[in-house]
Parts: sequence; C-alpha cells; structure tokens
Amino acid sequence: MTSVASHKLWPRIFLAGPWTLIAAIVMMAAMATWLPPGEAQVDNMMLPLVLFPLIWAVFFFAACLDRSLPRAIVISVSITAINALLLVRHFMS
Amino acid sequence: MELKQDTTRTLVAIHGWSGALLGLLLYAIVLTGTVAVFSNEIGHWSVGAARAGVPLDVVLNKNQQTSVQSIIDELAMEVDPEYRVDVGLGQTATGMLQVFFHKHQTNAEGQIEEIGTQFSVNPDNGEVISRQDGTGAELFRGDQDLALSRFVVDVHTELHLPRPWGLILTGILGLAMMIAAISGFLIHRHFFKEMFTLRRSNKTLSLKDGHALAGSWGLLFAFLLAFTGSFFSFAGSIGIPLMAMVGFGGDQEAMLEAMISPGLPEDTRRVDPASLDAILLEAHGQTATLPRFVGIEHYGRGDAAVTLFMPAAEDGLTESTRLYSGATGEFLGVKPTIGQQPSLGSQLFDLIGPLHFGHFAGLLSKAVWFGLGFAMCYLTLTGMYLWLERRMHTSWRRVTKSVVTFAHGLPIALAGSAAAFFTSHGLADTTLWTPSGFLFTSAVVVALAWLTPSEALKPRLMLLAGVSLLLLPPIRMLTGHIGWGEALATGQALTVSVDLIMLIGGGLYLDAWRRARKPVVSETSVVVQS
Repeated sequence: MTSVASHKLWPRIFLAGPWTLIAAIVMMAAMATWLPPGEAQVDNMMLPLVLFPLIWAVFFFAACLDRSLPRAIVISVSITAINALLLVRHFMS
Repeated sequence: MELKQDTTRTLVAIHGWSGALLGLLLYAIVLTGTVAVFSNEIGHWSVGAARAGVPLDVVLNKNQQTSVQSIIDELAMEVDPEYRVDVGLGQTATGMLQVFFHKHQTNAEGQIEEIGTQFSVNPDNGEVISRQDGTGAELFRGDQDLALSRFVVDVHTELHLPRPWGLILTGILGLAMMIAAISGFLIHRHFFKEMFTLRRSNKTLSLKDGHALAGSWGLLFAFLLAFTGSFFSFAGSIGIPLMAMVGFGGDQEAMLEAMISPGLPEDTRRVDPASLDAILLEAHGQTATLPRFVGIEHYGRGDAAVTLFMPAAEDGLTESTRLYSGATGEFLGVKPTIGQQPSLGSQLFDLIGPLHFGHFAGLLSKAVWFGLGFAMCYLTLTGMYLWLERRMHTSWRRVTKSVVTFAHGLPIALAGSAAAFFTSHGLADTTLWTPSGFLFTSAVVVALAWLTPSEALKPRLMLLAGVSLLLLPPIRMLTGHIGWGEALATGQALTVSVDLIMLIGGGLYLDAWRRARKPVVSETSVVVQS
C-alpha cells in the first residue's frame, strides 16, 4: 500500500487480513448473546449470520484506512475483546 | 465523491491487490456461478427428461389412475420402519418423483445428517424406477444423472475442495469481491460519466473504459453477489455451527428444531395420513403454482406436518412456505422460513437466495443474472489485465500468459467435463468421470499454453473453446441422449434451447478467434492480446 510506510505494511496486512476475519467471527458469535431475539426468538442468531460479510467489511476498511496504525489496532482489538468477554460470560453462565 | 489523496491511493491499492491476488479463483467461481444459474436446466439437458412438466402436476390430471398419497403409502410399506419418520418429495433430473424416507442422526463429525431410503418413481403410474439406501449426502453426491450440474455447482461453491475448506475459501473470495466492488465505487470519481464512456482509440483505453463501464453498471450486482455468496459460504462452514454452540450448547438438532421445524404440539398417536393430493390441490388453488419440494415430518403420526416450499409468486421476490396438518389436511398458515413467527431475520434470509440465484422471476430473471454474471467475468479479467499492464516492465508480465490460459481454458475444461459426462453416462460412474474430464482437459490446455508462444496463445485457445462448445450438442446426441426431434415432440424445448446456447457460444468464440488473428499494431495491445 503506497500510503503506508513499509515497516508498517505487514502489521497492517495482518490486521486487515487474518485478524479482521477472527474479529468478525468473534463479533458474530457474541452478537447472538446481546442482540434482542425478537418475538420469533431467531433475530439474535439470524441477523449476525446474515450481516457477517458487512461486519467483516467494516473491520477491514477501518483497518486499512485509519491513518494511525496503533489506533486501528486498539479499536479492533478492543471491540473483539469486549465481544470475547461477552461470549465467555455467556458460556460461564 | 471527493476523498483525500492518500485515502484514494490506499483504496486503489486495495482494489488492485484484492483482484490481483485472488482474481483467477474469483473468475473461476464467477464463471461457474454464471453457468450454475441454469444448474437445474443443465441437469435436465444432460440426461433428457423422461416426462415433461413437474412430477407433482399429476394431481391436476383428473384422469390420473394413481395418486401421490397412494404412491407414498405403498413405498412406506417397503422401507425399514425406522426410516418412516420424515419424507421428502422432490424431482429427479429426468423429471421423475423422488421420495426420500428418512430419519435424522448425528454422524461421527457431530453433524446432523439424514439417513434412509430414496425412490425414483414415475408419478403417472407409480412404477418404481430405482431404490437406494444411504445418507442424504451420499445419495445426492452419488446421483449419476446430476453429476454434471452438481460438478459445476460444486466448483462454484467449494472449488471442488473438501469441506469446510472449500466453503471458507469461496467465502474469502466473496469478501474480496465485495471490497473490490466497494473500493471500485469509491475510487471512480466520474461514476456516471463512466457508465456511458467507451473509447476505442487504442486497446488499453478501450480495456480501461470497458472495465469502468462494466463495473459502473454491474456495481450493485457485484456487491449483491459477493455479499450473498460469502453469506452462504460462511454460514454453512462457520456461522451455523457457531450459532448452535452459542444458542444451543452445540446441539445442532435442537437448533434446527427451533428454527426450521413446523413446531406442532407433540402427538405420537398413529393416524392415517391426510391426502397429500388434496393438500397439493388446495395449495394450487390458492397460489396457482405447485411446490418445488414437499417435506412431511412425523409421517403417519397425529402431529404430522406437511410443508410445501412454493416458488415465488409472479408479483413476489421470495419463495413461501405453506404449512398443513399431515393428519387432517388442514391449512395451518404460511410459515416463515426461519422460526414460527414472522421476523426481520427470516425476511432477510428469504431475500438472500433470490438475490444470489436470480430465480425469482423464472427464466427471465435467470437470463438477466446469466448476462450480468458474464459482465462480472469480463470485469474480473479486464481488472487483472489492467493491473498487469501497469507492471509490464516487471516480472509480473509473465503472469499475463497464465491469466489468458485460465480465462479461456476454464470454459474449455468445463466443456471437457460435459463431454466426459455424456460419454460415461449409463456406462460408467459419472461422478468420477465428470471431474476427470475437467482435469484431463485442463492438463491439455496447460500443455498447449506451455508449447504456444504468448502472441499466438489467445487465438488458439479461442479456437479450441469455440470448437469444444460447438461439439457438445453432437456429442450429447451421439452418446444416446435425446435428439432435437424427439425433444420437441415430447415438450422438452429446454434441451434444444441449451444446445442452441452452446452453439451460439461456440460461434461467438470462433468470431472472436477470427478477430484475434488480425495482426496487432501497438505495444499495449500486445500485452492485452498475449
């Protein structure tokens, strides 16, 4: 990526590539625990499933376009950590 | 849309690299997906229908000697009682009624699967044509008549790789296509102007304009295909097992029960089943259509449920599901696809299929999806050519030959798989020979590319592709499949139509070959041509 210094290129590629996929999967799973299920009791599972590609795209473009790599990392890791904690709490309970 | 210069540069890099790194595989799934729009039609074309129409249309024939219900009741007596739990009614590639008595079980991998006995039956007289035992996946994958259409779909959905890796890879390719579409939209500042610009002053400019033009008109389609395609891939490989783990402690059967089951109160009493013919006639009276699939849950019990999966109405986009009591025949309502009550999640899910497959308005919408699919193939290839052309003075230029080989070799290999199917059908295992034909033809194309100079490769592959497509109809007929006269006499115009599409495709390829043989005049066009 031409706008990114070369020593930051590979961390940026890792953030936008494998990490983004992990973050989107964790968020999809966690959404099932905090989204309202609706009257049919299925929305909390169907909406994350259907929206998964969009969740990934948001993570991806945020990771690529944020000028500050540390900020992009902090935001992505924080969101993933919060969702992972919600998942852990769900399984513990 | 005005973006900061470095943001635009980053987006251009994302757009280029997403296509460059995954472009060839993306082209493979887009081309096979375009062909797979007509997978049902290819299924009928490849074996020839034994009867015109859909098998369940027998209920509309007042002179019918037998009934669908009596066929099911008689078959039920022939299967292991443990498989008389659920019954699925569909259609074989030859237009016969397919009846699958089955139960659900958890396999060694922890996945829920169907296991039972499947019959192929002539719905006009109840004659059993074939009987097979096995799991749903085994019966589906082993279907000799469906080998060709299933192979095309399999390459599209999983690149013929083992699960779940094929699905994950195609899911990633879908995501790559989505970011290429989004970044392409953001970096093209003169979006509307590009929709109507096609300069032909030189090859490079023509290629660039063609890419922008196809991208502008096909942007929404590209996004929809990528979004829905990656949903299907990831939902099947990761999403559903993950949701079962979070919501149901890993119990996929409980999840299916909660999300898909008709949800009737339990009643284990044995009762005589209600007439399925009467149920089908009631549905036809209400919707003027017949279901593409029928599911009977708890066959012969008091809580039996008959679910009819109806095609989209003429003024509708999505399919509908009609639910009946299997004990009384009473219409219980239109059931959401997911859950027992209408929901946003179910409505969104219902939209994904029609938007991906393009089957919401019959052959017309499929034809539009088919055409747009080819526009996406063109978009993918021109994107790769443009990306390589900018790097023609680097070692990347060697890749151009591979792109040309792949672009024109894939249609040849698909034609090779079809030829292998026709040759082996009825004589050998088509599920083995169809992919073997694909691999053998691919090897021939690679060898040809290896031995041919770059400048002569594209015309030669075009000639080979044209001849391959033109040969398919005669190969089909010479291997004992139905001819045009018999097809038209028995109402199978579809067979003739697909043959004509092959002949037209072959003719277009030969015309392109004729034009590609003209001497090239500019350096830039050498890159494109080679």
